Amino acid sequence: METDRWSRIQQLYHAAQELPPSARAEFLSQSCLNDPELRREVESLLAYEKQADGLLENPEWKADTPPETAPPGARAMAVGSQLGSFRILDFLGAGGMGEVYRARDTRLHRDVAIKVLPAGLAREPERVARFEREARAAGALNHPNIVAVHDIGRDHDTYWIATELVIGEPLAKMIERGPVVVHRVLQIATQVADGLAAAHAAGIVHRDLKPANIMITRDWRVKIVDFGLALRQRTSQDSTTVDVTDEGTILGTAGYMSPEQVRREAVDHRSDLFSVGVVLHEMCSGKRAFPGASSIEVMNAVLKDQPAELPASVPPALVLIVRRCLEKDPARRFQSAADLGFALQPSSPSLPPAAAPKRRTRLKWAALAAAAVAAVFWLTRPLPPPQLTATVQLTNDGRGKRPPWLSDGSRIFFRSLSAAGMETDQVSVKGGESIALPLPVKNADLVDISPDRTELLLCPYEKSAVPVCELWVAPLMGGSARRLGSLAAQDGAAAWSPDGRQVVYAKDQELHIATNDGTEVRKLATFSGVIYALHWSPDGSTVRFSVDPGAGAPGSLWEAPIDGNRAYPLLPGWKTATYTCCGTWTPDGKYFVFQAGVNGMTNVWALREKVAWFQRAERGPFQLTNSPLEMLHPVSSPDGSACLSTVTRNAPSFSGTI
Amino acid sequence: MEPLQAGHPVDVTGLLRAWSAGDRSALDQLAPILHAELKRIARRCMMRERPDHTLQPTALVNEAFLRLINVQGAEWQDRAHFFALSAQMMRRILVKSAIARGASKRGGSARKVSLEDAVIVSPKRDVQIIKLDEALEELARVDPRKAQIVELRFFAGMNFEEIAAVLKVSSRTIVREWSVSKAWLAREMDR
Repeated sequence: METDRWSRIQQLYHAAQELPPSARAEFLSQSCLNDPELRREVESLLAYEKQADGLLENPEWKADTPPETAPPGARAMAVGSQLGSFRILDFLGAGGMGEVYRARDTRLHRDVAIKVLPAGLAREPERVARFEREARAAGALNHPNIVAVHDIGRDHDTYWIATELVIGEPLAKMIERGPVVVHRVLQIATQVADGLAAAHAAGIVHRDLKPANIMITRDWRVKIVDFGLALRQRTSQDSTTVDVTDEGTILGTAGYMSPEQVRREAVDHRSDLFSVGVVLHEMCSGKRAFPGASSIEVMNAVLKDQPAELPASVPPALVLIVRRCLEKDPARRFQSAADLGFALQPSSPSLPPAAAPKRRTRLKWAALAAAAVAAVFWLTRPLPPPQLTATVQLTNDGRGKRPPWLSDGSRIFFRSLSAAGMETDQVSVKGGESIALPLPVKNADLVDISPDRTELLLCPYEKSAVPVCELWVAPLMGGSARRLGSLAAQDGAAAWSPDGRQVVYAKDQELHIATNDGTEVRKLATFSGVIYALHWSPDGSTVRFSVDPGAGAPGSLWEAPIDGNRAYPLLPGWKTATYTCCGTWTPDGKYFVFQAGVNGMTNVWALREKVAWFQRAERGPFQLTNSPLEMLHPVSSPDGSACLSTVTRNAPSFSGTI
Repeated sequence: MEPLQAGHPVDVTGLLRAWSAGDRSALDQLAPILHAELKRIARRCMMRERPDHTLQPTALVNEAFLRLINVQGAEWQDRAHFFALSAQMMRRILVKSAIARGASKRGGSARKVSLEDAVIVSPKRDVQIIKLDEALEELARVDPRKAQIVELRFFAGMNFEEIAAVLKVSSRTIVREWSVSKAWLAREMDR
């Protein structure tokens, strides 16, 4: 392309950009009178103006930055302004997806609610799509318990939806005043179930049902609002997949999401029934069913926890209904909103008037015999799979952290990114403020902690191109560092033996063992690939490590016994994970915990290592964490079987106990 | 150039200073060091810690800077030059690894991969990077400076002022050129 023409194109492009879209065509036809080709070129560039933002300004890897919303106070519409045939009367409120105004329909002379997508969001195609989806989803429904959509439109860059104006208050407000009395709970829940049944019958899943989206009118009628996340289910006639959310985006509100939503699995109408269960629970108790200080805690609770017992005043049949809605497995919930609605009917056989349950007082002998059999079974019972019993968020400083982490039982040490560079930090295993750990060796990656927990093995990276570093030992309590013989390890892959008298390290794709003063070096095994995350078993018999074969191939865990010169993959037949890496033992040697990628999520898994001869037990792998965040590099704390994992992107860290 | 030895530290900050002051030979020493470090960090992030997750090239470049450069001793202009050099390398590293994973421009996989392999990295991202690389190549033919601006901003996360300092034009110019380059690239990638 000639330079002159290209500069002319740019000139016109910039000039047209300054103009409102409506004036551009006129401007271009004036400017390109005898050159339709030039006009086409400029117009095609202008057509890509917005799309380009999505690609280059907000590429996929930046998608987790929160969307910018308009500052409070800056409203999209002024009172008295006109949108289509609606005149704005009043500002009613703002939600995540837009601002809501009361407006007058000047043609039909009635008041409506108008929801406006803020201009900032109107530039994001996904937001616009979601907004339009809301209108289409709710507009397709005609039911007394679903807010009616009157009209949808666009005025320049302003997208709006006009809906029925509901005079009342959201259920959320009602619950703020305390638990809802049982007969009102039933009255509200029945209508919610009816509304949902209609939506589901039309193939629409709400996906964001919560007290804030359930409006109660003054005469106790229910209107479900906000179909912004609604998903049209695939029907048998429609074979195209409707993928409405980006991979990796979690939509919905943490405490009301179903487990399958939290896990980002496919959801169907039964996901809404879980949300109804959460709402029911909250109405009966006045408290959130899955409380938590952060959304990660809440999501974790949704996946794992049973909500607190409902107050004794709640009839047992209603308790059962709530419990059935809150089943983690969709197959064990009510299978349809209609079924739920039927169960909630006051005349339903499953919901008799509250009465004390009858006490069973018979067959003592049978009970005793059963107990004896149970005792034998208990002794030889299959061991239950390991589970994390609790998790703690350790840090919340927003700073990226670089694995591996090390622990001395009371503190966790890690490398952290700050404006001034990378530094070594420490945080209590109970969580809290992380502070710098002063070390005599600067610019060093953490490698291992000595078995007596007094020294760190460090790998100072020189400012050089060679990914091999010298091994240094630095006392944790202060004092000078010493060089470990003349040993150097690739990428800091090294570990102490459990008695602290030897080290194993990787160099030039080989594993070596040496004594702790850097002498008596012997080769253990050779690999094609880079060895990293090396650990020595608590019983001293073997080492395990990760191998990165290079060229983008997935890494995996390997094992090499100390007394031999052979090595083998740890999980050769395990097809569930796309890759495995970064494992370590719990201090008692009972479990080997590691990181694995399954279904695009990075979580911590465990292998059972030791089982008593009379016990039946599966070896695993068992999934320990199920987090939408990335759970990386478990490290075990020496004072028990604690297991820690953390996340690099948003930088909170978590610890849990097996 | 002699091969670098472990335990033989190189004054990267000094090299960077010399290069931005106009010493070309400093670049010859600097480039392989930077390239190796970027590759190392990228490999570590992509293959090991979060192989099935997205990576942030700008974060990688930033980490390389923090690791290689004496932050207190570096001037603002040094940083700009470091990032400019890294942008080019980052682009090459990302494209090469995307190709290595079997992505091709047409959105499919060049070689047959099993379902397990396919989800290791986001194929969507690989395809995007290869397409962007090709479109950038095309843009460089039409307007080399614009291609450079995109490279600096996209692959090293530089802001408009820093880019302006490296290219020695006003930041207003950079903003305008960035805008038209984006549209041009989006159109090119859509073809």
